[in-house]
Amino acid sequence: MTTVIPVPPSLDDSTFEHILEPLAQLPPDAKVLIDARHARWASPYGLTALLTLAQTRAERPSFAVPEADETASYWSRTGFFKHAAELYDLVGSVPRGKQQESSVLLEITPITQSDDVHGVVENVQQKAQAILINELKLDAAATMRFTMALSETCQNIVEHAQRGGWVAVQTYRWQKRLGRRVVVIAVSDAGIGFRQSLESKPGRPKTDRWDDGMALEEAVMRGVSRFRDSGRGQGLAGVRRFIGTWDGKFSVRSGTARIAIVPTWDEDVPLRENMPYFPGAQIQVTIPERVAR
Amino acid sequence: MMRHHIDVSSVLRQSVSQTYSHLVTRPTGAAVREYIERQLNAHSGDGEVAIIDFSHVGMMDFSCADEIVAKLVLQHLGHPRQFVFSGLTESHIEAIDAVLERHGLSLVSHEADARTYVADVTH
Repeated sequence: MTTVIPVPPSLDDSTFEHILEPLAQLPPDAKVLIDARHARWASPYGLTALLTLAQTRAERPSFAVPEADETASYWSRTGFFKHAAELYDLVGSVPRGKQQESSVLLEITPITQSDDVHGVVENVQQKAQAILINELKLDAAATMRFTMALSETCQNIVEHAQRGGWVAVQTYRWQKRLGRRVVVIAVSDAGIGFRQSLESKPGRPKTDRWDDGMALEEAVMRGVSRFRDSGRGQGLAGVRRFIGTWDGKFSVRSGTARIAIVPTWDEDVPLRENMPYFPGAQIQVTIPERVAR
Repeated sequence: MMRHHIDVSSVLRQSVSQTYSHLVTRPTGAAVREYIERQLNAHSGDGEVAIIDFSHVGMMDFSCADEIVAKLVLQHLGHPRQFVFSGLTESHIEAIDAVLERHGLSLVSHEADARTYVADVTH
């Protein structure tokens, strides 16, 4: 029997949970069809997480392509179907996505090793500069910080996930929640996640409370790493610092918890626990257009 | 006093890849530092000043700042060799400051040139 799981019309980090809720009830070898026929829009988080989802299944899942030409065409231009075809049995018509999409700073890119991070950084630098300065009204220094954030979030996969993941960077107008343009970095992997990564740290003190939420607090807020080297664990903590200067949002989901640095324009909670289990780590950085005060 | 000038950008191209212009990832940082150390060891002299020049480096992330600057400084604590990190941009300095703070280290910025840090190390 195949379980059909519908993709919400608008797929982002929040609505992706609607996919995970029914999925978490199923054994890993259950046959599933991810039904995106009625999807109209997806954030980079949504698209990279869909690829990650397929990697978590023991039985190759099926994926029903969006029926709306505009949606399918856009997803194609983000590079989604190129990778989805490797992971899913695709159902429906997949458009060719040869035309370049101006809102896609970085199409969905696999990250498996350090060289991939170099490729991402070299590719995105020039395009990011134009968009961050001209469209988001950020200062020139922001481009470097943005690229650092991109590098550090991608390295999290290489250093901790123990398997490959995905990165995508897009810019769009976030009309509903913010009414401004944003640039979004999404990084997702189906690896071991923060809790298991930190459990391998030599001499880790045993505490009464140890779960995904605490592991995220340790890694993101306190810069704790599984490595003995005291210089490790600075990447995500550094990204967290940048976010404040941009009035941006930073969230990391791993296992059953999600931690977020929440700006004043958003109503999210800093720590959400007891979520449906999803392997690995899903990181999102959202930087809004600067407005004159 | 002998001065030894090292262009980090050309070290990056020689030790990792001809096509890279940014200092990102820990393995890259480690490769660059090891190359610099080999160059310094080949020209070692007491009281030597090593000028590590970042002028032609694009971006440097925290991992590379830690592998290159923090580890070079840590490994030479108590050594007569003096390090001068020059050609630094605002974002380089930001990354360096963050990693040095983590190790409980600080460098002194050059009075006349804010883009130069001198390793009169405080630990």
